Amino acid sequence: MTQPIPVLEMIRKMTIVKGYSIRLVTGDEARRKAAVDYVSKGLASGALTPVIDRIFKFDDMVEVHRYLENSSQFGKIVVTL
Amino acid sequence: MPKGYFFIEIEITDPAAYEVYRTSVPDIIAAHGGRILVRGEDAQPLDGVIPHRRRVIVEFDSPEAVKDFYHSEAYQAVQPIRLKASNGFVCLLIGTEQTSHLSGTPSLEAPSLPALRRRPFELLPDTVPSTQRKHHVPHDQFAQAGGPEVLEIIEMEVPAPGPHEVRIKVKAIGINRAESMWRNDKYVESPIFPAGLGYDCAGVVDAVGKDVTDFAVGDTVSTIPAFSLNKYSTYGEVHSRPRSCRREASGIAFVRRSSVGLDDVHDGLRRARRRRSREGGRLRHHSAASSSVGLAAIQIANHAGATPIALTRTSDKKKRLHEAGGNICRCNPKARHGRRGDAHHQRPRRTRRLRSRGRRRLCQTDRSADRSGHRLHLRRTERG
Repeated sequence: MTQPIPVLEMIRKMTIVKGYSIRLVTGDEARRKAAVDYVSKGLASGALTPVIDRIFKFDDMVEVHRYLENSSQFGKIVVTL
Repeated sequence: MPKGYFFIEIEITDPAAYEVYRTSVPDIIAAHGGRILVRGEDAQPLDGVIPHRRRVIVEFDSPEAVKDFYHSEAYQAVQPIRLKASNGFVCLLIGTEQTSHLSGTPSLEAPSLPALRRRPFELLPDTVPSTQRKHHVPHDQFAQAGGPEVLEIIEMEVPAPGPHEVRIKVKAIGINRAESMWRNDKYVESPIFPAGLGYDCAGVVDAVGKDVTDFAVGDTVSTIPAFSLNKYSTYGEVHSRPRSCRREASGIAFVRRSSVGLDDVHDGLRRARRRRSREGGRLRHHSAASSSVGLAAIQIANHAGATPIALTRTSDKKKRLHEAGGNICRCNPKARHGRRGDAHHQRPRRTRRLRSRGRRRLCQTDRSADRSGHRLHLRRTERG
């Protein structure tokens, strides 16, 4: 189902809608480096901690995608080899 | 041995320049034993919409012969002329092995492993990808769009890394929502089948291309999703990548590494930075707060001194979001289970800010004030 864009509402609030792609970061050497540094430092200091929901085996990939689409995870789904 | 077909479909933009290419190629084809089967712009429509394009089909004795021809010095010398004078694509098509069945002689070269499927369609990139073939390893791919069951594990030849690629022995793979959308052919680009999938992985570099200087064999790395899924993927045991990796300090488990996607972090970081300078420093992560992107955004917002607002649809995740650092969590059990992207997918009610235990929180007030539903209004108050 598509929603019509609420034009009048947007005028009233002067809403800005912007698409975002990871390429804005990864496509630019300086930004990419800044992002990688930020993540690396954050992980090292403990300010950023990965949250892992569940770990699967590679052979169960079909099951992994079913689980992903149930949207019941809290954090990252990881597959190990 | 199946025959190989060199197939071109292009729109000529500079006829004079193209003429130079057209007249020089037949000799190169002949030198590699190729036969021009089709050449020209006269496609007679039978059904469907046929764009006006020049199409060329050249038959070679084997797919390898097509590659030899394509990568030959003589062809590579004129190929830039074609690129300049036209738009379109060139690919290698692999013939069926019918002839051996028709003649009644069993083909000795037919692969004995049923899992060892040939790729029937292979794009020839304009940079030389790899020359040597190596061992076979499991690799996840799918041949058509659909539910999770379209995924199958096949054994595949692993090419040596191209000049600017590194090859990774994969230890752990992080799963993304995008891969489910990709599998359903509902993503920002469409898969070319059979397609691989996967953006994130962590592992150990096991080979590097000749032009790679910043990574070495044995380096522990995780990937940055700066590539098209049609070119690279991570669901598999061994993968070549462009140099979009980051080196990791040792001592972080592979499982943890693979779970840190750069996209998770950067989306949050970008928002947090923008808000931080403003008074109040709020970060509103509207939906999917329990996804890895949402949780990363919460951590980044806290780290940057902003206040994350986490929204979730189910009440059982509310407590966990609080524990994860989401200062303000809302659950909205009445939200419809709509499609992602649907404006009513999550429908927070009007909220107002309270002071509680020294922390600002939001709690729910009368819904009647805002019947139109899906807008979340936050009244601005001075920071105390």
